[in-house]
Amino acid sequence: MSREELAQRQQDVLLALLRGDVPAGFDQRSAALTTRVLRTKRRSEAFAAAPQLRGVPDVADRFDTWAGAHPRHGCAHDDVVDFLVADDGPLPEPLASIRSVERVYRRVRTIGRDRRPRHRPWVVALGDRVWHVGPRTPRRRVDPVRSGVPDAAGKNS
Amino acid sequence: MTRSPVAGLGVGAGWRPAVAEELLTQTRNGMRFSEVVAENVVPSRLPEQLAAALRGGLTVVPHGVTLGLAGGAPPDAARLDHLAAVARATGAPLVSEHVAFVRAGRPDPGTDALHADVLEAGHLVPAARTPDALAVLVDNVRAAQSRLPVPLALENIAATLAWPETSIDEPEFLTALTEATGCFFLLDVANLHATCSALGGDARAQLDRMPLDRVAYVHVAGGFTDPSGVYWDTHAHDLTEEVLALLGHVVEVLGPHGPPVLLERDTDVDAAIVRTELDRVRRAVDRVPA
Repeated sequence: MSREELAQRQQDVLLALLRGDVPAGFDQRSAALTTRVLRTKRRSEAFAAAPQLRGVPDVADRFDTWAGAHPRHGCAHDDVVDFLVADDGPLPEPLASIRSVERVYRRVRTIGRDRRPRHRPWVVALGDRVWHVGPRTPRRRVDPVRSGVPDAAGKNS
Repeated sequence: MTRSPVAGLGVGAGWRPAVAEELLTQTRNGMRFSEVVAENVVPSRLPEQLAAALRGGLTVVPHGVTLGLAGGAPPDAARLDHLAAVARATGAPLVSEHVAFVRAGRPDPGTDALHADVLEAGHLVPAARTPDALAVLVDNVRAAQSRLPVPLALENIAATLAWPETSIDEPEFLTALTEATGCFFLLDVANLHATCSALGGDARAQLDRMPLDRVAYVHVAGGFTDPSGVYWDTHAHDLTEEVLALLGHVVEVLGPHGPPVLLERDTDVDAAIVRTELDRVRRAVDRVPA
């Protein structure tokens, strides 16, 4: 097997495991254990990047279901935002506003609502530009991080 | 037997931001060995407590987690250069990585990283152990060694995946790897216990066939055994008696003044936990007659 064939074989197997499938010829238990490891690791990194996710009911299952169909493309922060954009379940603030705004930027929606303090309440896509419109909401006593997604915690080895 | 570049440094703990102050205190009280995840530090701006501990005589091994040396693609030059830079910044006598792949596929020449046809695993994944895979791994390790300023040690990972094409067992595979490349072996006893619990095999019997003459240092970590009997190497739980017993056997074989032992505790960690767990490791090592 050449280097290229090895790379392709690893990619095929990894893709199946990330989807939750058993790659052809593999023992079902071994593949299931590995899928569990990969999903747990990915979810724990995402939740470390956005700790607000930890208190959301059902979100671990929602994340795992989504992750099974969507390989990770960037860092843990990117993974969180990609998930939020795709997820339709209930979310607390500021996650709900981040989802709404990001959907407009990605042109999944043309208009979104931003309920975060000190943000303009409406986000509108017009042509190739996105506008944040309306009066800024009053500042609250606690000032959340503007993006709402704090830095990632460490990782294990 | 090739003497480890860090032999005789005793028992240490991995550097983590949450316990940085405690590890600096441990260093001032005599701890001489640690390890830092290379991807988590900027060589030109080492964390303050880590820099202070280095000045205090602590030996710190940069530990890479993203090279993916068992992958089909050659190791990335930028990642290698970062590992090398961390080694220089910490004055490390050694760096370490894993026998694993972490991404799969190969970018077409000229394709930028974000749009390459490369799938990220997000974790360490065991590769098939075949003669062809070994040849690619040996090539990758040699490429890494040629770009690193210090020797390289490679770690056995906790594996749950059994490839159907595997034709070489792990001890034989790792022995062939160290013989072909001259790399050191980072023996993770918790990973070995985890692999045997998931895939079968006697950890102690496998351990005795590992390339023990090339051990640079030893990892131990906590975890838990689930109801099905699979041990999960979480780095977030306390050390189990099974892993400590395996560590005791390693120290019996290698000697108490041989390769140092490093505690890995990544999450659910504070100063008191590190102190307690380090004491448990030290007692396990000290139980072995000199």
